[in-house]
Amino acid sequence: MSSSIASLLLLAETHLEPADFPMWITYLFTAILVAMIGTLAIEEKIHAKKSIIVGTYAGLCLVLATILGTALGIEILPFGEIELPDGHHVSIPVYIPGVDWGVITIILGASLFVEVTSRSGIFTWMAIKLTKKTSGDPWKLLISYGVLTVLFSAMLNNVTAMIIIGSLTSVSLTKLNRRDLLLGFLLVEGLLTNVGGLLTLISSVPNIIVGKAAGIEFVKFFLVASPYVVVSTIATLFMAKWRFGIKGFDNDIARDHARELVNSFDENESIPSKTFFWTAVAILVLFVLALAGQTSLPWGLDQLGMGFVALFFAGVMLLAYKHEVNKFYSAVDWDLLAFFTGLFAVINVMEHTHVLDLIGQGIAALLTLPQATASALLLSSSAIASSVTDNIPLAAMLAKILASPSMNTPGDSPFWWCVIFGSNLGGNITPIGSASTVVAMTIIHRQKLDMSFMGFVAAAVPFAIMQIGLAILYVELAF
Amino acid sequence: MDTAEHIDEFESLFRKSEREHFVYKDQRLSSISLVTDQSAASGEDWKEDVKSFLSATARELHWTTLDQNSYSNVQDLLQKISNSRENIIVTWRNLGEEQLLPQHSLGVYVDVLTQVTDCPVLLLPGSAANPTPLNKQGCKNIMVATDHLAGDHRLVNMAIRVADSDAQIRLCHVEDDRVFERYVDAISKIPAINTDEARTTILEQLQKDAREYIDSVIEQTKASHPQLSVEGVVTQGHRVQAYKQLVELHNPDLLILNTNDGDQLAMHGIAYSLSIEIQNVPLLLL
Repeated sequence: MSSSIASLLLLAETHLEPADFPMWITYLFTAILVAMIGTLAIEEKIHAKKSIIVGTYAGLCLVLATILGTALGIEILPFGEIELPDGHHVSIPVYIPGVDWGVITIILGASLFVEVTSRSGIFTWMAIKLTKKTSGDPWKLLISYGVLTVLFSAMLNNVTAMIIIGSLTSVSLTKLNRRDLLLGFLLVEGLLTNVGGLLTLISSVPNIIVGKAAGIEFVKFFLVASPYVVVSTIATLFMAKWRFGIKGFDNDIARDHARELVNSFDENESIPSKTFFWTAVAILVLFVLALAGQTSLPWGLDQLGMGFVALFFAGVMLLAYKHEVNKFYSAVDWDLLAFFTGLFAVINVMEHTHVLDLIGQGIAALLTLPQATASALLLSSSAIASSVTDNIPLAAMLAKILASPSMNTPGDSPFWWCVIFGSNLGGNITPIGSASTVVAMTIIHRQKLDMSFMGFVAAAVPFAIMQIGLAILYVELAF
Repeated sequence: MDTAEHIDEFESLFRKSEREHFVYKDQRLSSISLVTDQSAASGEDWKEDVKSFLSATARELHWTTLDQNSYSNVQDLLQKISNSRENIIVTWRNLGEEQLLPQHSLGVYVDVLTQVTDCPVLLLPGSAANPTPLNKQGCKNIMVATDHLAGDHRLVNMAIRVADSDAQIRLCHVEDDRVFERYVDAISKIPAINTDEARTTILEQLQKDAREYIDSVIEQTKASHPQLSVEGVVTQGHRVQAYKQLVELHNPDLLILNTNDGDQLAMHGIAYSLSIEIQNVPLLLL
């Protein structure tokens, strides 16, 4: 992010100042941005993938900005060579420098790493082992699955966490003849993925984007976020216990029967090889340690960045499947990566057409309020915006605005955390608010449970209000 | 791989982790009813033979004999059986159908008894018109035959209940290759599914479930009935022929079959076919 900002600042010298820039162009591109966000909000309805939607808008923005620039005789997009740190000049397409390749490599490396590591059976082993520890007691199951959802969301990503825990929940509650609890469990797990997604810098994409823009390191991110995650998880679990009437066993017969049923699960079934399993455990620990200590890596290795760490460990794990890597390449979420590339291109155009300045002015006005009020408003408005559309464009735009020279937001400002908390927790308000709640709804519908869009909102809003309220309180207290 | 495929992948992984463990339950038997279309005296003779055959359980049972004068039709017999709440009914094929030859069915009495009552029916060898003498040495070699062994605790528990203390119980599971091939043929016409891979993995999984269940039966009986010997046969083939071959090979004293197929009123297909094909071995129909 910093390199793209630097190159843009370099080129900004040749640009028109906002005061001289035709405002109608800014308004036109603002309308395009609003239209793109609106289209993303209805992606399920129009059956179009994110990458196609954003790619289409990216193409439209680039073509329109180029034609308008040529027609009006002004340089909207910074065509021409760019200067590298060693003084060399290279010619690359105008839409390339705006892409934050650091973010792309983190996502690519982490998703490949998770895909291969999960083949070792480590995550399913953990999930089944914990299920057996609960002896099938519904309240203990909810606690275990809730905690595991948070941990998996932090270690993997919230979509994979929801898929693993949601699948196990469906199978285990069916086995226990407690499908009456399934809807409540799946809903709570969906909501907890977005809480768990706050735990580390790489747990969710908004964290990566905002954390990188603010210069927040992995360990610092964890130390700031973890107290909130712990409190919010506990509060969510107790609220779910009350809301869905989930109780523990009150007699030995039911307890013994449930224990017998869950004991029929064999946690070793999904482990293809003990050696690979323990290798995966060791490499997973090393991966987390390397991410935590990335900025302190010796011999200048820290300069390679977090994306390199993710790609390096993915490469190490792929050695175990060196003859069938295509299987893992095909499992990568290319739609997400293409979506990011297109999104960065769109935001780049928005920056050059001063749309970000326009939005920044509104946010700057908001931030001039007393800090407590400003934080609460920024966090809650980020959450509301994230609830109806993808939180990634929002996080990317707000991060860019907060990092812009005009705002110059310091790294220890609470405003970064408002965007992080808001964009993650906003996903809990509606079923389309985050990718993991979409997955939760997919599992709910696969299990033939009755839950409409508004039904989800009605059930989830009390939880979301509680979590967002706790986040506002936490930001006020912590900063 | 899209989200739905990912969810399905993990659901399959967790379902694969489920083991159907055998649950031992002592089958309480208290009464037995011998139903014959012959005289009371003939019924008494057969009663002694059956007592010798079921030596492990016979002593503790309360015996009644329903001879030719005890009932006049199927409804009448059903009424008497339901009133007496029997645990086991002992009878023959083609009861009361002496004049109907050749006999290629079980007869209306056995058909109704196996489907309407909950109690097991011990079908003695031969038919009511031509009964075959019983082996009086007891049940030392029992075969349990099913096409869905995993989870069929009732069949195994009944085998343990009627077996002599040092008997051998053989649990047999045959996957019907005609049904299997029909599905593989359908799969072979779906480009998205690799046919060879599907054939191998589906068959492996089908047989694995049965093998794991047999292993859990062996483990359980080692603890509860250490003198019993349990072994399993898991194979694929034409089911009726495969079971007939297994019966010829192992020559069991008693063959136990499942006759109730969900909420169907007719007898389970394989049990019916085997009951007609295998006439020289006593069958316990559950």
